[in-house]
Amino acid sequence: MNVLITSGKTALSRALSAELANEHKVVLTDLVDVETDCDFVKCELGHEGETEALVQGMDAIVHLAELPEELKSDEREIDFQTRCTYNIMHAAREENIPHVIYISSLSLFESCDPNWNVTEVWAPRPTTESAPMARYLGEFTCREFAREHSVRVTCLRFGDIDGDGDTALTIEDAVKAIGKALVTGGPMWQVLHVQSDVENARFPTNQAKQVLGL
Amino acid sequence: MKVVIYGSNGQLGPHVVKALEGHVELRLTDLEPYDTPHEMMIVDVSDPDAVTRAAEGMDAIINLSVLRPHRQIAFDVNTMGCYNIMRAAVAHGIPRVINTGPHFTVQGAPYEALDYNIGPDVPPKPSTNLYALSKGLGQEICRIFAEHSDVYVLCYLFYIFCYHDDLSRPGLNRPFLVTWRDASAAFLPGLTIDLKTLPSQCEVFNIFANRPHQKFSNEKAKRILGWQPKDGLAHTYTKETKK
Repeated sequence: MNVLITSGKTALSRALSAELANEHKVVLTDLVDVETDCDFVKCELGHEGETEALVQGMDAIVHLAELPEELKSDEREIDFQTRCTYNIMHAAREENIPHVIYISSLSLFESCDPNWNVTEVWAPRPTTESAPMARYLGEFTCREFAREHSVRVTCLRFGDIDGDGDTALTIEDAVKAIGKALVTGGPMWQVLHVQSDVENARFPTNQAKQVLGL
Repeated sequence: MKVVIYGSNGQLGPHVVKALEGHVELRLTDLEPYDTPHEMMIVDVSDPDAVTRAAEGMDAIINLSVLRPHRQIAFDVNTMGCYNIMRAAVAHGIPRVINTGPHFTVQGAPYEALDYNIGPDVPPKPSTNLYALSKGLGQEICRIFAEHSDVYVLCYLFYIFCYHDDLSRPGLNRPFLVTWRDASAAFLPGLTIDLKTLPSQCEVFNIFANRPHQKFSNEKAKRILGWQPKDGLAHTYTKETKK
């Protein structure tokens, strides 16, 4: 399987590409230059054909949707998750890419009572902080493409990667979830909550375990 | 009351200005300067600092800015513009924002293809159309800010406009049709309604003439805002009989 991974500079993309490279042909991309042994294409994810060229020939796209640290600002976060995600989804449709995995965040539920048993059927409640709001808008964008049956989207809402709180998600578990999602069929739009089995874990992950066989 | 209008010199802007003159103090903004007796500022809504400066000292914001076909600018204006405007409203403690967009900001192709009596409170499904989705994302930003701040957002949805004295028929037998003067008359009620009487801090309204199509519903705008479209435009949906 040919797999494109965005946000190639992140620790998650490096770990993911290392794991997937055993069975798949992996290409990394990012908005900035990245030193890597993998195939890498620097791409602004714009709308003038560069994103179509980037995704051409892929069987799946893993959109980690994480801005490089040096580019982060509130405005850039919103722009990246909306416009660039739209460009990726648009290109995926144009190039007949059957599956996009969008990495969202369980921070969409940060404003909920921590005692609530929040599952995938709950409506997202992002705050006005740019990071969770932008992730929600990225989901919103992907969902419209899935609704039109243009591209199948698996939306993985990740806990705090390498964090140590009650939403912690180890990189190993994150990699495992994405790897399983790549080879698992499903509906045009599917949301799964993913965090590690830590003590007093805030979010139940039964659905992800069942669907992905984790 | 002091009101800033972003995108004041587009298609709808001049009609809204005319409808509000004499009722409120206006600060008009747009990309280019133009002749007006009102205070004028050059503002690109994708520029957060310019948006914030233009909102200073205002009691309400009207966002008429819009860009349709260009992918980068559509997101800059329709999505980022809303983000900048809502942040400016919060920063200056401005309690009232009227955001605007096409009906498919919320009631997009998935509804229009299949349903009737479509109201503005349906879950948003703008579709992947660039104009619709970039506006839909902007409206979601407005909603999230309204849920987490003291700002109230009234979102007015329009689609096809015409002049009240335009008696031509071609292309006007459309359910979401309104005259410029009826559309612009909806803004004063939005600026004067007691915000505490609104059902929530973010309310969406369909603004179109009383039409017999029953495809969409404008009932909420009439009930809550007290707005009444005057132009029925019956000639646009009745047959021309030969004499």
